[in-house]
Amino acid sequence: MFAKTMVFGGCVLAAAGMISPALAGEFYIGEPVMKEGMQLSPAYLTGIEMSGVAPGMSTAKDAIHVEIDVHAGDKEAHGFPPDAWIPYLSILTTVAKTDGSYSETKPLAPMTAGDGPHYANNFAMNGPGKYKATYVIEPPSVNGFLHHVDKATGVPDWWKPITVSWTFDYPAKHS
Amino acid sequence: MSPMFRPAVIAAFCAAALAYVPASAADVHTVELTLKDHKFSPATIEVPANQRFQIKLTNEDETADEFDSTDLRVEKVVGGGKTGIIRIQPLVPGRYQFMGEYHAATARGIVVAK
Repeated sequence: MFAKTMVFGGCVLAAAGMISPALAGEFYIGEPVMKEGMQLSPAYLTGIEMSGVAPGMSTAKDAIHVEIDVHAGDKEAHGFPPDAWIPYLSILTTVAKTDGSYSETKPLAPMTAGDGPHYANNFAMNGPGKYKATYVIEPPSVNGFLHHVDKATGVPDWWKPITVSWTFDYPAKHS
Repeated sequence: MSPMFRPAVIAAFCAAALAYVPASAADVHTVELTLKDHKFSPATIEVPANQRFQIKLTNEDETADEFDSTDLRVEKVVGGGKTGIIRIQPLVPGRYQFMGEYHAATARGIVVAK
């Protein structure tokens, strides 16, 4: 009985491993944009579970995990090397269905995963259709992140809050 | 530090910085990779083991894809019609899978470090 259970469990795990790219896949929201020396790239994922409850997190079973990757470009001015994750941001995100039937606004939480640190939260959504994701990104200074201002090692003041948005199909048309 | 001494230090620092930058950026082994019709070409890349290298990915598709590899511990989104640099740390000899995560059914490849 025990052996049978083990074999069954093993098969389930193996199957999950084989199909996990589809289950825990990452999907397209829009083209990356460069702002203030950073690449901003939105995406959503399905099948994501987190270690704790992010503020405002939807616990709906089919909620999707809406992310934004904020990484330094080649000429970021505040000392971050190319591709470095930008920490300490506040990112208020609105996901709304363009027919007006659904809208949720909540902060994204900082977190890390196998594919690196990012900002995200879970959104309930309201069925297939066209959606708009709007991100209002405030600089690290709003969370107490300082920067040097002396002549030898100083970096420029932080940028003003950035608003970016993308319109996307849910579910994504290609996978 | 005396004000007289400072320019010399700055000059020395600048010289060191100038000497350093080309060695770190331009001399890194670069592999060119193209994404078209959501497929990588070439789909297999051979690189020398135990040294840093970078992949210059030209995305010839209309929409972005995310170069993603758990094996290589790297993730980078390259927009449609854009080119991006993916920087990879030294690898021990072996095979490392990567994919374009938004089109994972077709966009797949392998880095072979020898």
